[in-house]
Amino acid sequence: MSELLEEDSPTRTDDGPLVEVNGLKTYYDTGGLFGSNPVKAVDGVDFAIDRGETLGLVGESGSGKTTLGRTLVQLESATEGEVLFDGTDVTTLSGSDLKNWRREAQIVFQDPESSLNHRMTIGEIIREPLDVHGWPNFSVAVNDPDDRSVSVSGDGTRAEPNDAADITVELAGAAPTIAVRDALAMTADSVDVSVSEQSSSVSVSVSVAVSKDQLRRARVRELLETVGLREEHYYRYPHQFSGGQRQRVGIARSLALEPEFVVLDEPVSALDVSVQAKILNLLDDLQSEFGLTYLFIAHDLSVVRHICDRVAVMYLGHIMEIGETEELFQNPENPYTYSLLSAIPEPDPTADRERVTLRGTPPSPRDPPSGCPFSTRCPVKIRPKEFRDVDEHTWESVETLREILREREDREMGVRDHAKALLGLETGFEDFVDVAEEVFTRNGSLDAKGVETAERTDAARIDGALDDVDPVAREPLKEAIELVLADKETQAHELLIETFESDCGEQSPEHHTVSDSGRTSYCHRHRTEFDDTAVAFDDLLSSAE
Amino acid sequence: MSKTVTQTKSLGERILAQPGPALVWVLGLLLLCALEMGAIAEMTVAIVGGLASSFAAVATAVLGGPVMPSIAGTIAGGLESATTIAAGLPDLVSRSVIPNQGYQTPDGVWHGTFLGLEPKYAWLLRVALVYGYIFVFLWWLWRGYRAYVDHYRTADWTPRDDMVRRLRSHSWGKFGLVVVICFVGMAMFAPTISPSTGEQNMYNMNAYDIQYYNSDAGSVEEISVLQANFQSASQGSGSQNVGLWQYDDFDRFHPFGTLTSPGQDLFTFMAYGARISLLVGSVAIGIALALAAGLGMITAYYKGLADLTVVFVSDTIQSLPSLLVLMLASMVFSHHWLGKIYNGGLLLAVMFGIVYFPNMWRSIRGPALQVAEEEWVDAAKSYGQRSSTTMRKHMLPYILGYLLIYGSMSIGGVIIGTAGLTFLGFGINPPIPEWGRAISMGQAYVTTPAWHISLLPGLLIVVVVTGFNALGDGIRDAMDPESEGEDTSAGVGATGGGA
Repeated sequence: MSELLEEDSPTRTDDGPLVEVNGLKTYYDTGGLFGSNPVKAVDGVDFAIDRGETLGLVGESGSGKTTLGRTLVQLESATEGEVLFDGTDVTTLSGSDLKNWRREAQIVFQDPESSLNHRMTIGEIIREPLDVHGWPNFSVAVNDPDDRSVSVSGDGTRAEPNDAADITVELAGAAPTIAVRDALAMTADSVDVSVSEQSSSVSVSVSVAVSKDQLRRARVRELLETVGLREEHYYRYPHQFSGGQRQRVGIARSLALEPEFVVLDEPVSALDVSVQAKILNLLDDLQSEFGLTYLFIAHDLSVVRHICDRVAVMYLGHIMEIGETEELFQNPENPYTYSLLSAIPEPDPTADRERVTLRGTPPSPRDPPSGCPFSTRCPVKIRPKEFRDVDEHTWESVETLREILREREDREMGVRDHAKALLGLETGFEDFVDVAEEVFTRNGSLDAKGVETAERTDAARIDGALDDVDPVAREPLKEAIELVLADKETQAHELLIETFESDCGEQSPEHHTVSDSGRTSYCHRHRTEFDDTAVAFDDLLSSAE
Repeated sequence: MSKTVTQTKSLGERILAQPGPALVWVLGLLLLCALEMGAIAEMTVAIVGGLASSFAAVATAVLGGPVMPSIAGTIAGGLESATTIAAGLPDLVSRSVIPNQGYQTPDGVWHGTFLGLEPKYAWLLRVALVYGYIFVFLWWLWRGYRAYVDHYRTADWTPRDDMVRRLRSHSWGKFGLVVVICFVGMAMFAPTISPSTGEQNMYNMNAYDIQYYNSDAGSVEEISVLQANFQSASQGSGSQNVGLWQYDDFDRFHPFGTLTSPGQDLFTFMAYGARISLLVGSVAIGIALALAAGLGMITAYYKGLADLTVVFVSDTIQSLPSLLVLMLASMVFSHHWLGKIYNGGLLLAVMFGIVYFPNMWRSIRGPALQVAEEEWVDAAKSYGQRSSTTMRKHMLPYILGYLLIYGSMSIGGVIIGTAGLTFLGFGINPPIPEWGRAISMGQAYVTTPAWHISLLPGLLIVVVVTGFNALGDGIRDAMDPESEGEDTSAGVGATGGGA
């Protein structure tokens, strides 16, 4: 097999990356009849994957990483942008061009339970891609020392210049020498070549004595062994296998057509921990054996650190940070990466590391925040100048209140709510004073502050609650609460935005280059006028102590 | 099990390598077929011939002209010779080998029956032999499958094995299977198991004569079947009635009694009627299933507009009162060539198919959508499999089970519907026998001694429909691993599971 790699290597060291993604967007539910509000699963990403490299793609559930992976192998069609594969934009391919390209890019799915048809034997499953593409096509490369024009007839087809040919015919010497590629289970004896040479052209007629059916069966057997299964598994059904073995079958199927690029969509997250390592090692071995390029999608950061050369961190359809794995793990520059890494459990129980916990859940990709996508949850969001020094509790409560108002605006009103609103009835915010009390008091209630229950008028409760916040913020907050109580939620929200918003919520950040190795991070903090992420987190954590 | 797995042999090569079991099985099958060559040929001719003559009639009606009659003539001629050839083929169990029609002279001796047996026993023997043959034949097919599994199949286990095992331990389903086999056997071997023949009993009564012993004259006389039938009709009064398990005045045995005027043999009527019920039922269900499966997979795979269109069409069909539509169609097409094929049978079958498909499509829509979401469908797309092949290979096997269940459950409805329409005077026209017409004929005599005319066909419909439903139940439970408790491995839409 190593010879194969050497044979192939000249074609695989072309200039430039193998996959290049520019401004890619994938939206779902576009084009409704009455104007649409699509799910922006992937919302403008740019990156490149070099040949033979493993790029990790991490992020929370719903961040769009799986959609991105599926778009790269054209299981989803891109809404905008391009995916250059070896310089060809594959988003524009269709028909037989697309089918031919599919040989080059394959995907391994997350759940081996669902990715293998239970009614087919393992052999049939792995063989199907071969059948679909009529593998092998007996591509013939003719090496002619005189460099004449070559035509191929019979069973063979003319090999594309960059592909590894199935059959190589060497014309130097008296009789032509024939070589057969290792992936085909036949020897040169089974190939009969007749050559007729003219002064300016050569025509080669090839006939192969072995049936394609036999070659495919042999190929499947070889693949089974390659992924660590035995060839007697050919006639078994997926139900007779464990999860790890099934995933091996899935991997064998994706390798059947000898792709260059494989998207691994959380290939080990459905497996037992003991099996995960074996599959990861297998993937590693296969990569070095066949010179594969991987996009490794995962949410398990330790797995990513183990297997990937570079990592991209995704949040809400955007790549927040992308760079060399070790560097990124050691020294995260983006606040999101920082928070994510801080969530990895420390094996040493005595280590006293402060952990950053993210507030709430990611916003809906149907209605992402303006500005930076992470601005609604960012622990080190840049504050407007006048609030830069307010205490952590005040800032936290302001952000929580904004979150609540935001979610209420997103909430779709049902028919009953609409009817209630029309009739002037309350629509569920009658308890807003309770909400304010919970948000703004330090321990979540006024009980500890000695305010008598009988004295708790709304105004008194609000004042009591706002007692705990920094005086600078008290006035606008009170105004906002009163607006909400007067049923002017939108105005209240606008007031909060106007008062407390900074660049983070107003402008999209740029992808700043943050290290010599070319790592980029999507955050306003990299602008010179602001503190860096690490500094900001240090401040945050020290103030919390 | 000493299976060599490295073999890359095809089934043919595997059989050649170990020809014993296959050879035994094929020889047995040939022997069984040879025994009933005549009946098999008769059945084929009856089905093909019916279609061909209908086609000829249609062609004449639609195209007209001088050419068509000659074609029709050719077809009719071919049909006749085919029938002759079929009749000439040897038959171990047949009317001519075991005749049951004869007469008794005063000395108590039966003339013309098998071994001088009473017609009752001759007929019973023939029926027993026919059903014995059917079950032996099916058992032999089952043995063939076992031989394949044991000797020639490359996989030592397939998900189907579990289904077969579950069906085998399902008594209600097995009861249904037996009922369905009896019904289908009755339809297939109608000419053999009937006491009389269709030609003699229904279609051409005047052309046949029978011999009987006239006690008044003291001699053996001949009478036309038509005359004899008129005299042995069941009219409800004591003297004018041939009931269950009785002989008429002409020494003919009627296991189910006779019909009203002219008094045809009810059992013969029912056996031939089973043919038409089975034909209409299976054609209708076939059409409905094909539509439901095709549209179900297309809507599940493409969703969107395709789905919406089919929802709209099926809603439209379902909003029509189906019985009225069927009656209307029978009326409108009653003089049209379409209404003449099989005396309205094909029209009925097509209409039933169209009326039944929306419900069936809706029933399989859920499973189809579910399987379309499976990752193996995505996987097929990712290596460029054609969508039609994806549907056939990766989706159809998962909804086939549902189709079988709904098909076998609905065929009873079609049989009832056909009978109902015929009862009302629409549907299938005389002289083609239809169970519903027998019920309708006997309706006036339900309270008289001639109650058998309505009751027996009615009971038989109930039994057959129950049988089909039971079989459907059995198939459903066989498909569904959950029904078994501890085994949650294979089956329809398997969920969960893990590493």
